[in-house]
Amino acid sequence: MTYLLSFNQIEHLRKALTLFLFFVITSLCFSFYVKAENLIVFVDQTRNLDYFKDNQLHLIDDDLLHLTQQFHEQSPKRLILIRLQKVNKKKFIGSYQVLGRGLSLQGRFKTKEDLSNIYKEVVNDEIDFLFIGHTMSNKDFELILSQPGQRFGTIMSSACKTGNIETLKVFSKYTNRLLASPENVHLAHFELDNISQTLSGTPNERLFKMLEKSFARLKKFTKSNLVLNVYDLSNALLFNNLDCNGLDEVNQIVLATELELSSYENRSPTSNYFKLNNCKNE
Amino acid sequence: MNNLRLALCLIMIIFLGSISHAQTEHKEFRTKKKISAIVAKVKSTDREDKKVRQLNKLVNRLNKGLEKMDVNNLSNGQIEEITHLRQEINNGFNMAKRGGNQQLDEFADFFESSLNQASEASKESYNSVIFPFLAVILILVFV
Repeated sequence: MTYLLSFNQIEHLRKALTLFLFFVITSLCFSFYVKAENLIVFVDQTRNLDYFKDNQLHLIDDDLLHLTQQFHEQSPKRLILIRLQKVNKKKFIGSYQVLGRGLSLQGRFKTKEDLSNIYKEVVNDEIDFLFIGHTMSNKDFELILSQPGQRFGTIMSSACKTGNIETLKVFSKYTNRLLASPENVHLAHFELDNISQTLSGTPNERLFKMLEKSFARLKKFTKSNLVLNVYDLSNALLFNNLDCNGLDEVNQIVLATELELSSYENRSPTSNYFKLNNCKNE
Repeated sequence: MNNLRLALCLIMIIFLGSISHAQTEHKEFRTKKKISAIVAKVKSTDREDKKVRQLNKLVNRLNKGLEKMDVNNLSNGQIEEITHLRQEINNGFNMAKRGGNQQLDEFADFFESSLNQASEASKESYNSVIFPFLAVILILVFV
């Protein structure tokens, strides 16, 4: 016995099948993206991070409050906000707040071990790491990056002059992709608005979006040189005595650049064409 | 009168103690606030001579402070950055004076943003434009 379908029914079935196949293919495509499920925002508040523009005070606390308001317990991305407040030989004091993927936690830590234990409880899958603060020593960067105990999908460094060879080598132990600057960065820091949307897609996509948005933000605040670069830290050139004079070589580790130069500021004498800092052989 | 002097000395010692103990952040903040207020004054007037006068005060204060700075505690990188900043500020100011109101406003913005960078050297620069509490010292000397 055959079942005959009318032309309209066949058309209807064809459309439904097309739609079904579209959803199947789309979900398969998404499964190949490396999703960053967690975002650590590490804020070094051992020094004042408030900033002025046009006689208006901008408080870092307000910016961070706005950041946490973008997340809640059921958010698909987990925000881990770490605020470091005091450091000495014995103490490593600050507060943490975790929001997303079923968690809503907050508390304080008093030692490095406390913070490492917190990371163990809340961090899983791929993480992005955003640092906001003043310039730090490489030893201090090593300390804060090593605490989560795993590599990151990307690192974003909203601090001055971290695009120098020795600091890049430190970062390369923890990620292949970095957004940083070889010049100064205004305290107005990288863009925190709609950060979940910005940090979606592959590591390159996440950093290219963050580069564009952060550059647009910082341009409104700073009249000094503004340079942001995305670095490929997996490139072996970084460790093969990278020749600061060789622009071709240096260009291979810089994947993307946004740059606006000030009329009043020259490049630093140890800067390589705004790609790297600490190049002394120019 | 002697009791008053003694009391003022004690207040001074406590005041100095509290300043030296991690008050740098507050100094930085107050200095940034004052600089920002002066920059706003520069931009709010249309008179070129007033703009130049205000900026002159800021630039001179920065230069004097940087000249007197004790560089022994600074790293080579910080010294280089402060030298670089000083050259830029002086060259920039000279350039801005030739350019008229718009250039002076832009220079004022540049001055403000230079001291709002996430850099260690900017911390040292604040100390050179701090407004000293000479009045209290004068009271102690002359009372």
